[in-house]
This record gives sequence, structure tokens and C-alpha cells, in this order.
Amino acid sequence: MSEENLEQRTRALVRDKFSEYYRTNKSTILPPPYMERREFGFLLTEGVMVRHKSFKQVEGLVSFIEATVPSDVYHSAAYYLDPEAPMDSKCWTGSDLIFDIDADHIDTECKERHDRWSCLECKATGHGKTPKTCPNCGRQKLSEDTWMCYDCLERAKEEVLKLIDLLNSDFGVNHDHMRVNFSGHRGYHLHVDTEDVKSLGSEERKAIADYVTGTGLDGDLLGLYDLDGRIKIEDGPKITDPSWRGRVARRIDKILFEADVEELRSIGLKSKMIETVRKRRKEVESSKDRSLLGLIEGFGEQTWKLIIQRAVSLESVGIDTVVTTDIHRLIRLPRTLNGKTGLRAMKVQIGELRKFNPLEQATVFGGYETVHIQEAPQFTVGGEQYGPFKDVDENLPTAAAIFLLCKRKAYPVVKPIV
Amino acid sequence: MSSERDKARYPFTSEAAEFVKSLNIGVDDLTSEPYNLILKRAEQRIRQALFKPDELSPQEQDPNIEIPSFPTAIMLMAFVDSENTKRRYAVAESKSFSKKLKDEEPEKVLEIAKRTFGWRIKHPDDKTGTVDFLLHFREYLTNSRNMNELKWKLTNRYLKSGYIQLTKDETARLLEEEIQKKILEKTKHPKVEPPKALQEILSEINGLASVRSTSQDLVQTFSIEVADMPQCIKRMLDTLSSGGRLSHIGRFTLTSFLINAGATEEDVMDFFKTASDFDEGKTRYQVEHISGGRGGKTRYTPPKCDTLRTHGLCVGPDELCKRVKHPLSYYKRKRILSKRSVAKPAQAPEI
Ligand code: SF4
Ligand SMILES: [Zn+2]
Ligand SMILES: [Zn+2]
Repeated sequence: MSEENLEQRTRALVRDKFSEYYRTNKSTILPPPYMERREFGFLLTEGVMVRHKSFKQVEGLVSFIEATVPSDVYHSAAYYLDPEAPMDSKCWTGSDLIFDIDADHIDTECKERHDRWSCLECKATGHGKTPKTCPNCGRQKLSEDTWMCYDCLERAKEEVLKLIDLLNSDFGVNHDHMRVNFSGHRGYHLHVDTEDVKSLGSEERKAIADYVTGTGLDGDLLGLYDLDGRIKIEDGPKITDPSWRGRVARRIDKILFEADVEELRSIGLKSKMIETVRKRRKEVESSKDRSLLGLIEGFGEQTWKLIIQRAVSLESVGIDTVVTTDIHRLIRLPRTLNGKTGLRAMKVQIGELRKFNPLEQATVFGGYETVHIQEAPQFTVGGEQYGPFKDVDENLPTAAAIFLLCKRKAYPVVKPIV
Repeated sequence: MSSERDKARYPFTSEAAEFVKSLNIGVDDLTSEPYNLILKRAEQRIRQALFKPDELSPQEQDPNIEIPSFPTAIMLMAFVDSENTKRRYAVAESKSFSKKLKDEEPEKVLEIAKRTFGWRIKHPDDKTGTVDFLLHFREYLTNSRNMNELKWKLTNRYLKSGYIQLTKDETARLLEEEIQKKILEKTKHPKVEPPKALQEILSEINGLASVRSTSQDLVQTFSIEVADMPQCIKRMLDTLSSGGRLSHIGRFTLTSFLINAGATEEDVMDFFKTASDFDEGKTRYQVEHISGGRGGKTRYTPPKCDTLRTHGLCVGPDELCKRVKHPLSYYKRKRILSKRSVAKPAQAPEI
């Protein structure tokens, strides 16, 4: 069978299943607030993007989805007077502030296990995070094959929780004004829709993105250092301080008290200093005053820089800043399917985020399908683990089969007509 | 409650505006006694703002003239054709106001910020420190966007429950931006013919404005043709040369554009020297970096139109813009087109 035919069969089956999902779940589709002022976009299964659509009511949106069975559904974070007009004349009136947290932007060890890249020029391949240039030939034409697992989704979730906390304590945004959606793939979107943020331009949003990531932090301005470039002891940062000053202080405190030898070494501390830290921990624990900052004397400028750097990078929230600054961004609509995985994008209540497990809760299909799998690492869908596979026919639960089909790692096996 | 002295000092406040309203002076009154003194003072304001901004200072002894002279000057400026001149005026007035505000009691500053501009600003609970005010981050962000120093960067501020800690001086500086925006807003062209009574004085002011036409200066400074530049770049040039500020990406775009269009590093340095927050070392570093001077590395090109659009720097495309994706290709095409049309120099280049 030709490759083209296989591709067509794959598309047809995916479309079939998506269509069935939308037929039976249309009542759950969750339009964004003020839907009539948003632009909607649809990626059709043939790869064509239909944009500049708008709907006054959810019914219209649902019947459009039912009729076209798109592989992905998006809406604008922005509000327009005329959402259907071409870009220049839509008349932008505001936009939610959005944050995109994706495992793509977070370094995790599991990537070594499940991600691969290959060079389109010299055919070199490798495991883990895709390098910027091919280490073999130095060119930049690399294709990547990324997967997700419980670990990286948990890490992404940690980032979301960090972000919620920061938006709440520093920006004063309360939970009612934050919406968290699982993207149906490797991450989460967080929307803030207070009146305060809606009219901000992209420069202002850039400032917020930089704040969230700790970009441009200046230790002198935050009063972290004394004149010798060492951490200030007197009048220095306290864990109760607001904003980055307190955040850095809390993290340093945590590092100095809790980091194990290996972590301290990874920060760049020499063995002698690690010994000092350990000794002083004991001293401090037996005294009442739980302040290690003051006790770590003799640390040089260089050491403090390393510790502070680590503290900042641990506190920094891993968002894709481009998404936050783009005031015309289209973003996935919850309760629709993600064409890259067949998983459902969905809203998660902030109170339930901690125990939310997308690999169990975002699967939608029932039944079984037989597919031929070219190659796949071990993966989890619907709470079950599968694989690794190479060049085999398998009868899998539909959710797992669709997942592989969407990733183009398998194609449907035609059942013989009896 | 604000005194007449306050209104004369800060004629942009809502109290001052109400006061002027209550005087009930018509435009036609301005040319006859005793109101012609208001018109005179308004003209003086404009002259000072454009040519000797340091001399701009309130004449508190006669509030009945001083207070209405401000809205009168603004009305005059609205009829002026050059955006550049308007900006120069707005910059000078707002700077002189903020200088005064820095010497005021915190209460006064707070009152103006709240009542005239609706800022969410308050005193901190603990008044012992160096912090005078807490300001909502939204008002902070919209007024600090053109400030490039690290200390204005949100990341380096104390931000708690949506509020930012500020000193009085910093607050006055942020108010300066707010006042400047207000003046620029109010000097937008009213799209009607100027009143007959004002035509004489207006032609005089328009004459003043052309004395220092920036784009003329520019054509001489650079070996490149300003008339062929896209609107976005012209706007950046105008902003800088009239004392306004550019965001970081704005500076980057402008510098890389000029370098790529053939300006030398020295040309660009000269031009930036006139900018209000010029820092020689920093600017030189930037210019050299962008032109690939240091270590002879890559020369940077300006961002694509798409990117400029997301950053709000695209001014709104004209016909040629629709056919290009990059401000440099705009310039190159326009150059070719205008060379071809050298034969018919009927149209004056737009500024
Ligand atoms: S379309 Fe491009 S060249 Fe034209 S004004 Fe906008 S950014 Fe500049
Ligand atoms: Zn290669
Ligand atoms: Zn993983």
C-alpha cells in the first residue's frame, strides 16, 4: 500500500473517531467568556487553517465543529469589535493575559527516555532535548519526535502551581480570575481575565513575562549584595520579603538547609564549602535562631553568585514568553480534541490541579482498534502503559491507537472481510 | 482641596479644568482685552517649551491668566501640523510639571494622581521606610514602558498583592509620562478649521515649528533618504528627535535599520546624542554590537513587519507595506521607485 493511501486511511479513521466524539459530547464544549467578541480558528484534517470565524452562541460553534470535524479548535485570547474582519480591521479592544507552560520548555530527565531528534541533512539522530544545531554537521534542520509521560506532565504542573502562586501573591490576581486548561498534549494554558490586564499592550505583557521568569533581575537593586558583592547579612533579603527578593531568600534558605551533597555540588560548591554548610546546619538546628544566611560567612562573591543563580532559576516559571506577549494569539478551546494526540483539552479547577492526571482524565475514546505500529517508545494513555513497539500489528484500546495515529507512528490495519 | 496656586502650578488637573470652565471664556474673547493676556501667555508657553524648556515655569501671581493659558496653548498646538512639534511641546511641559511635583508634599502628589488620573495609589501601611507610595501594577506598567533603566524593570520592583512600592520622585516621573500622554491626546488635530480669531497667531506658531524640522536635519546627517523610509521607522526617528523615548525593541529596530540602510556607526551615534536619555557608553556598545563591529560578527537586521506589529511598532501599513514583509525591503523598493520618478519632482516628500 502506498504511503499516500496509508495517510488517507489514518486521516479517515481519526476523523471518524473525532466526529463521534463531537456528536456525543457537544454539550460539554466550553466557550470562553464573551465568545461573541472572539475570533475562532479551526485546523481542518486536511491541514487547512480556517480563521476569522465568530459565533454569537455556543450552538453555532458546536454545529460548525460537528460539520467540519476539525483536528484542532482555537479561539483568540483577544476581544474584537469585528472578529470576522481581516487582521488589520478587526478593531482590537483587549486580550486576556495568557501563559503557556509546556514540557517543551522545561528540562526534564525523562526527555532522554522518550524524545528523539534527527538531522534532516546528515541523518544523525540522538535522544533527549533537540539541540539548536546538529552536533554532527552543525546545520539547523532538525526534526523532533517528542512524547510525554507522567513525569514531564507533573513538572509542567509544578510550573503552573508556581505561576498561580506568584500571580496571586505578587500581582494580587485571585483564583476566580484565573482559568487553567490542560492543552491535550504536553502542557497547560493559564488565562487571566481581570479588567486590569485586558487592555495591556505587548510591551507591558513583556514586562510581566519577564517578571514571571525572573528575567533582568538585578541583585544590587534588590538589595541582595553588600558592597563586596557578598550576600547582605544585615538588612539583607528575608524570607518574608515581597517579590523576587523574598523569593530568592526563601529559595536560598531552602538550598542551604535542605539540598543534599549532590545538589550542592551541582550548584558548583567546593567540597570544603559543602562541609561548612553541613556543619553549620547542625549548629543552627540546635539554636533557636533559624537563619543560615548569617552563618555562612566566608563564602566568596563567586559562591554567592552561583547560589543566587540557582535560586533564581529554580524560582523562575518556565513559560513560553512569546505567547504571553502576542496580543492576537489563538489558543486551544477546552473540551475539544488535540489533533496531535487525540486527547481532550480541558479546564481544570485550580483546587483540583494537584491531583489532576491528564494521562487518565483526558482520554475520551472507548473500544479497540488494530493498528500497525512503525515505532514507539513506552507511553501511557488512559492510565495504561504500552510499548515500546517496533514494526508490529497491535489491537489496542482506541485511545492508545488514536494517540499513535495522531502522532503518525502507526496506521490502521484493514480487517479482512470475512 | 486645591488652591489657586496649585491650579496655576498644575493646570492639567481636573480642578484646574473646572476652574477654567467656570471662567466661561470664548475663543473669540481671546483676542480682546483683558483676555488677550491669556493668549499672550499661551504663546509664551509654547515658545519656551519649544526652544527654552528650562525657562518654563508657572507664574503663580496671576492665576486668572496662568491657569487658562495652559488649555489655550493646547488648543493652539492642536492646530499645528507637525506631530514632531506637538511631541516636543508635550515633553517640555510634562517635564517641568514633574520637576515641580518632586518638591511637593506627598499628599499633593497622591491627590493629583488619584483625582486627575484615577490612579490606584495609596500610602503604605508602614510609613517608616523609604517608600512613599504603593501603586497598582497596571498604572505602573503603562507609564514605565519607555523607561529603559534596570531599576524600572518590573522584575526589580517590590510587587505585592498587585501594588508596587515607589518613592515620591519615582511617582513624579511616572506622572510625567501620564501628563505627556494627556497633552498628546489633547493636541490631536480637531479636524475643523481653526477659528478666525486665532489664525494670525497660529501661522506664527507654525512658523516656529518649521524652524527646527527634524527630518531636514536627518537628511543632512545621513547619507540615506528619509522620505523613502517606511512610516514605522519615520515615527521612531521623530519620537527620538523630539525628546521622546523608544522601547528597547524600538531602539534595536531603528539602529539596525539605519545601519543596514547605509548609515555609519558615527552617524547613528550622533543622532542618538540628541535623545533625552542618552548614555554614551551603552549606546556605543549597542550600535557596535548591532552593526557587527565588535569582533566583526554578524550584523543584525531589523525585525520583520510581523514582529513589529506584535510589538505595536507598525504604524499601519500603506500601499507599499502590503507588498513587503520587512521594513528594509520597503526601503529598497521605495528607493528604486523614487529613483525612477526623479524626472517629476512635483510631489514634496512627506515628512
Ligand atoms: S508594514 Fe512593516 S514597513 Fe510598513 S509600517 Fe508596518 S512595520 Fe513598517
Ligand atoms: Zn546534521
Ligand atoms: Zn516525560
